[in-house]
Amino acid sequence: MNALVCFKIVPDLDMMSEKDWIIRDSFQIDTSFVKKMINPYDESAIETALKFSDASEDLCLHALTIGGRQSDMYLKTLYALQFARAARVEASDDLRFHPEIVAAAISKYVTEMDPQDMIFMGRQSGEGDNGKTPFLVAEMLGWPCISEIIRVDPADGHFVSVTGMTDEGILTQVVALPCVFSVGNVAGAYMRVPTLKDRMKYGKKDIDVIDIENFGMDSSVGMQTDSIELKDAVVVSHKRKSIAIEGDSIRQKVKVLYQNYLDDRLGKV
Amino acid sequence: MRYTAVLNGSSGQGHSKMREIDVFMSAAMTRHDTGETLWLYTDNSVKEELTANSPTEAVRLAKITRYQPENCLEILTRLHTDHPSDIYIFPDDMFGREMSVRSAFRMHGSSLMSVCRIAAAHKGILCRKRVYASHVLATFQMNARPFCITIANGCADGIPLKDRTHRILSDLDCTDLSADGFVRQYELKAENSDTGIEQSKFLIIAGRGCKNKKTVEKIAAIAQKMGADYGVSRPAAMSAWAPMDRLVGVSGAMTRPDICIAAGVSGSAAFLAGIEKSKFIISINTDEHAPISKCSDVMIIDDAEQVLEEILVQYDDGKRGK
Repeated sequence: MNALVCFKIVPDLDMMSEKDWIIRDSFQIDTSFVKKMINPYDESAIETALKFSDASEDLCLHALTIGGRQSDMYLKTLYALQFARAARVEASDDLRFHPEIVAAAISKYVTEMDPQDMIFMGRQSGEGDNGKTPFLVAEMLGWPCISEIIRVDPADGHFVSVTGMTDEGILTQVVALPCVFSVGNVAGAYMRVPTLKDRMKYGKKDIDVIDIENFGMDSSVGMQTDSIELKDAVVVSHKRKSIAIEGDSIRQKVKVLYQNYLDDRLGKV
Repeated sequence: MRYTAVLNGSSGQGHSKMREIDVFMSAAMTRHDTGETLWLYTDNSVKEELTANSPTEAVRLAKITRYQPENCLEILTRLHTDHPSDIYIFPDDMFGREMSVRSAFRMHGSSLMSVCRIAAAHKGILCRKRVYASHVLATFQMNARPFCITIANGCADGIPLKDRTHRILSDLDCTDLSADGFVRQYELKAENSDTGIEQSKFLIIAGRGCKNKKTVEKIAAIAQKMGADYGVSRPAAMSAWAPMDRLVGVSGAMTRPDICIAAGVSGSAAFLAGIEKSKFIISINTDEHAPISKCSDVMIIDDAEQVLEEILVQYDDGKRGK
């Protein structure tokens, strides 16, 4: 069985200072100088797939990302974690608010280049905050989708057991493949770190680089996604008075806090 | 414009979500717009209650065997064929997020999640929503009809549902649908995930700076002694220091307490969005440059656990004094 894990490299937006938040042309924000990381939801998707692989006998893990060369070091890390194939769709356009293009590239990769039995991906990423890609991939492939999953276990034959959160509670389903798994909030799903030995042994394999135009997709994003247009953007401020309570000891500080700010308020709640 | 609110009547959360839809649509729609509610339900005994609490006068009901998105999508696309709407409105829960995107795709429309305001535009509608992990408020124009949107949590702000006289337009039995045929076994462990922290008046939230599960449990105990609820930031929830239903922020609870104490929380924008409606925010953090500092009313730069222990001492002294 093949399982594809899709991930995105994103800037760590919490590292940006107040002054870095500048709205530029086309209402975009320059985050190119910020430290990059794997999107946290995708990180959980990778680890969930790895745990499923640990428990399976015949699972072959593949990885796919869309973006520039900066993603290659993360793909090599996945090779070191014994992914069998790592691919990157080269796309120079800003796809932050174009999940339809991302989903189309993923579904075309699966149908035209690398057939899969299941796809793991995080439920959303922090720049576009679209939250649409896993659902769109499922629709484009005509596959079912199970969202907010927290674990996947092997079952008989071409079935897997999938546990996920729903608004009613925890739902465990044994489902036939193929299927898209969208990974949400999973406690303790930080991605494992490969050993240095495995990095040296497996981490030097070549990455498959595919131009997005190979999928017959126009590189001009505006041509393809006029159903939604970004029209305006303003930076949100959460600023408050920010009064620092001084004191020589914790007891002294808390006394000031309690008497001046807390006691009366506590009486009213 | 014609709109349809789509709610999951089997989740138990539908009840709180319909207030948000009511408030949201009342602000956005004119008297020329007409609306109806579609309830998907599993249990006949809740039909009357769902109807009575619908955010529109016109109500449609569809009975399903169990919650499975594939069947729900089938029902919605059939409804759209027979009784099309311009806008489909979903709650911003797991049901709504999935249904909005997938149904828009099937209906050749457009979708947008976590919308906090809408307005009419020349060709379509303008929607506001937060992007860049809640650092930026963006306006999008949706051009492809129908517009399928989920409403950002926290829109209603405790405003009660309007009184209405309801009329049932249809009550369909959809239990024979089999779009979920790929599911061989289905086992639901029902959980009441409503911790009440979204309604809490006094909330203490523990973050990564609390260092471990033991400290978070201690803070939860302090909160209980002071009559407060407790929550955690995403790093603390992801480290399994507290159950996921205690998570505060855009991917968890959107709170509006009178008093909020953020203890050992650095203050990511996604977290701050979850407490921004607090009347008074106290932050406790060893790092005075952490983003939470500028976003609090008062702050103590010190160890969160020790400060909270001392607050409890003061609280107990105060109670004894009174």
